[in-house]
Formats: sequence, C-alpha cells, structure tokens
Amino acid sequence: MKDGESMENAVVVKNLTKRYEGFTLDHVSFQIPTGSVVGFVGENGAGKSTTILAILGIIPADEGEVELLGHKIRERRKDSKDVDISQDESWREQIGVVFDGCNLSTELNLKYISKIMKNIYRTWDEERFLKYINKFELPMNKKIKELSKGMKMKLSIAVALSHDSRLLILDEATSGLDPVIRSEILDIFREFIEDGEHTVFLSSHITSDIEKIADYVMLIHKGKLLLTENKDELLYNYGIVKCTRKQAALIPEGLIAGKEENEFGVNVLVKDRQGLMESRFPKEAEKVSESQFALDRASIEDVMLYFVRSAGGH
Amino acid sequence: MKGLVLKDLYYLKGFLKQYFLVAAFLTAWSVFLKNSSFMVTYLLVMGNTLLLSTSSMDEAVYFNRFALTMPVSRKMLVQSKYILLILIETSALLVGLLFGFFLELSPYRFNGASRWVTTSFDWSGNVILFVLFVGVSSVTLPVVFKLGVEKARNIYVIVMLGLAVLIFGGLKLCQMAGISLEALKRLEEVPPVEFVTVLLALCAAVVVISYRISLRMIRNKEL
Repeated sequence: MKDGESMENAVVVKNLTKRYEGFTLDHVSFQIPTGSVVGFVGENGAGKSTTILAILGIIPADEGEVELLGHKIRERRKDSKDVDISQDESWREQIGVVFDGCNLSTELNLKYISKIMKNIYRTWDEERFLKYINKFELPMNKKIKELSKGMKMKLSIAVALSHDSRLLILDEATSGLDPVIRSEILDIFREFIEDGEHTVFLSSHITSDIEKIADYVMLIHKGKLLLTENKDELLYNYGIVKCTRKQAALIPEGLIAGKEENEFGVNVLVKDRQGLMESRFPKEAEKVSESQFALDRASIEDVMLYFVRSAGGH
Repeated sequence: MKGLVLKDLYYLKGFLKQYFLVAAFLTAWSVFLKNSSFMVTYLLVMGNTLLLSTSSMDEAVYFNRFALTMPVSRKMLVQSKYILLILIETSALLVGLLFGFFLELSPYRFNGASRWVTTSFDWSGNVILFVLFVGVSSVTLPVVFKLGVEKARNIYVIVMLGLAVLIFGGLKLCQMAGISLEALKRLEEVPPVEFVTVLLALCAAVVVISYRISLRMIRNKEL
C-alpha cells in the first residue's frame, strides 16, 4: 500500500495536516488501493475522525493533498499553498459515509428518507434501498427515533449503499453495537468489495472487527500515522516475546516495535518473528537465563497497545 | 436542494396537529373579534419558530456534517434554509390574507341586490407583518450558521423585544416630547400597491444581505 498510481488507489492522502490547540494531525500520508478494506485503528482522540473529516472536506485542513476516486479534492498550488479545489460536488455520489450514529432527523420514517435521498443523489436506487431494508428487517413506517441503535446503524449503511457508492467510509460505525449485529454488518462490507471495484475505509477502535475484515491496517496515535501494514503480513510477522530483562537486551534493536516491563519480566513486540528465530537471539537467550522465553503471535490489539505505549501515550 | 427542503418539510409535518389546534382556536377568536391580524401574526411567528426547529433538529443529529458527505455543498445548506423561510412565511401570509378576506366579507345592498364585499380588510397591514417577521428571521439565520440554534433563539427573542421597545417606546417618547405624529399618518396616503412594493423590495434586499452573511458564516465552519 505504499506506491502506485492514483487510478489504482481509491484514496490518496499526502501530508494532511490539521492544527488545533493541543492536537495536531501531523502530515498524514497514505494510499488505499481500490478493492480493499482498510482498517484505521487508534485510541479515542488519536485523530481517526479528524483524518476522515479532513479527507471529506468537512473540516478545512491546514495543509495536504487529497484525492478520492481519482478526483482531486485538495491540491498544492504553485505558491506552495494547499487549497480546497472541489467546487463540483458530483464526486460525492460515489462515496457512502457512515458516522457513529444516525444523522437523519429522528422524526422521519424510512419512506420519507427514500424520497429525500432520491432528491439528493442522482444515482439513488430505491429498489436497492428497499432490498436492504428488507434484508435488515427494518420497519418502513416507524420513525427513526423508534429504532434501536443497531437498526439505526443498519439504516445508515443502507443509505450509504443505495446509490452509486464505490468508496465506503465508516467512522466508528460499529462501536456500541453487539457482536451479532457487528458480524452482520461486516458481512455486508465483504459483499460490497466482492467485485474488486469497491473500497472500504473503516475506522474503529474495535480491533477484532478490523482483524476479521481488513486487508490493510493503519495505526494512528496522537495525530501521527505510526503504522501501515498488510493485515495478514502483520499478523504473521509480529510476535510478542515474553522473557527476562537480560534476554530482552539480546533482541536485535531493529526487530523491536515496542516493549513493556512488568514484575515477571519483559514483553517485547517484535516486527519479524521468523527473523528473530533465525537470529542469534534464541541461542544467546538460553545462555543468559535458565528460564525459557516464549514467542506468541501478536493480535492487532497487541500491536496497537505496544505501539501506542512505545510512542509515549497512556 | 429539493431533498434538503423536503427533509425539513417532512419533519415539520409532525407539528401539523398542534399547529392546526392553535390555529382553530385563533380562528374562533378572530371571527369573534372580526379581526384577522391575530391569525396572520400567529402564522408568521409559528413560521419563524418552525424554521428554528428544523435547524435545531439538524444540529441535534449533526445533519449538516453528514450532508456534506452527500452531493450537497455548504451553499446548498444555506440556500435550503432561506427557501424554507420564504416558503413558510409566504404560505403563512397567503393563508392569512385569504382568511382575512373571507372573515371581513359582509353583506352589502346595492341597487336592491345583496352582494358580499370586504369593506375594511387591511391587506397591506398583513404584508407589513410578513416583512417584519421575514426580517427578524433574516437576522437570526446568520446566527444559526455561526453560533448555533440556541444562541439564535436568544437573538430572536432579543430582536422581537427590541422591535417592540423601539416601536412602542418611540411612540411614547414622541408623545412625551410633544412631537407630532401627523407625518406618519401621511404614509396612509401612499397607495397600498406602491407602499407594499417598496416594503417587499426592502424585504428582498434584507434577505439577500442575510443570505450572503450566512454563506460567509458557514464557509470555514467545522460542522
């Protein structure tokens, strides 16, 4: 997910910066390949929502360039100033966005919502909307205020998918939902990207969801992008070494991604489990201590926690 | 654009029952007094209040932020509220005018035949009220976009009170200072059509200025 032409990427972000008092989204750069699911993880307040809102132009960024589905949203001018250049809103037809919660008037029912959306999206597909409504078993005549949180989220997803959306952006859309509903929703995202032309950018602090569905994982902490990795490679390569302090000192510096000391010893997150086992570490570790070290696979949550702690947070 | 206005109209549909209930009471009251100005004032005040309610709901569910993820621009968000303002207040004026017209119809005998005519119906007075309330909303809408609905509600109340103080206080001061108000009475000599045309032109100018200010307010706002 590092190099490639913009046509191959649904999202291209370069040096996106937004400064607030006490928080800066700091020169964030990444690319999201078309046809993939990218999980955007980080603790609350890390900068996930700010990134998403700045990409969509909902909050004005201070610096940076953004390209969505081949449309330049922000670019660098010749005088080196980055400006919003999007006057035409038609590109938004191809983007579906779901925030945490339903953003439609609580007094409306689903019938009205379809009529409203028909007059907002040129590509609104009422049949597809009804199909999702039936699939999600949502009551057509009930007002939004009468729906449960899970139902509201399903409704938001149905709206996001019922027009010509090629890119689905979800900001904490699954937080607060029970595992059954979350699983149903993840199935829908899988269906959505099946043809390889649709892309999902999913921000969440529920790392198990990301682990289930994402192709790539991005980790943000205090406004800085700390990690961008292929999920399978990350889960295969990263490991946690549980060992003594003396053993930990023998781990090659270049393999260490994070460290956590406790009363029993040290837990070290390593970037390359195989590399570690092929190094001199296993033999030397046996020499310096009687107790055996243990090497476990790391989950995305482990990676997130170790990275965040190493970067000086929490 | 149409979708945004529809969204507000569907939301307002929920208020219809209570709206009509009060209107029915005021109808009876107006018929009793043979004066339609209560009704027109009520309809116009409700129009202003309902407009603020739609913005209040938008704020509660972060609709504007969500709208910008759709093919909707900030300009369209502003335009939709001004269209709604004109739509609601014009409807209120038309209903008020019709109501007033029929309320003040009375039988009149001419050459032995009985006819229904309106003798004292003051339609230009209704237009003055319309201009006044559209003007007040034109002050509050930029505040909605800059500071939010709650502050705009306060401004609305302050502007209404300010207007009342200005009009009644001004008249009282004139009386106390012995200033003759005869000059004001000359306004009645202006033909109503010309008078109303000037008022409506003034009202349109105020709305356009307010719209431009609102656009500025929302341009760089984080929604």
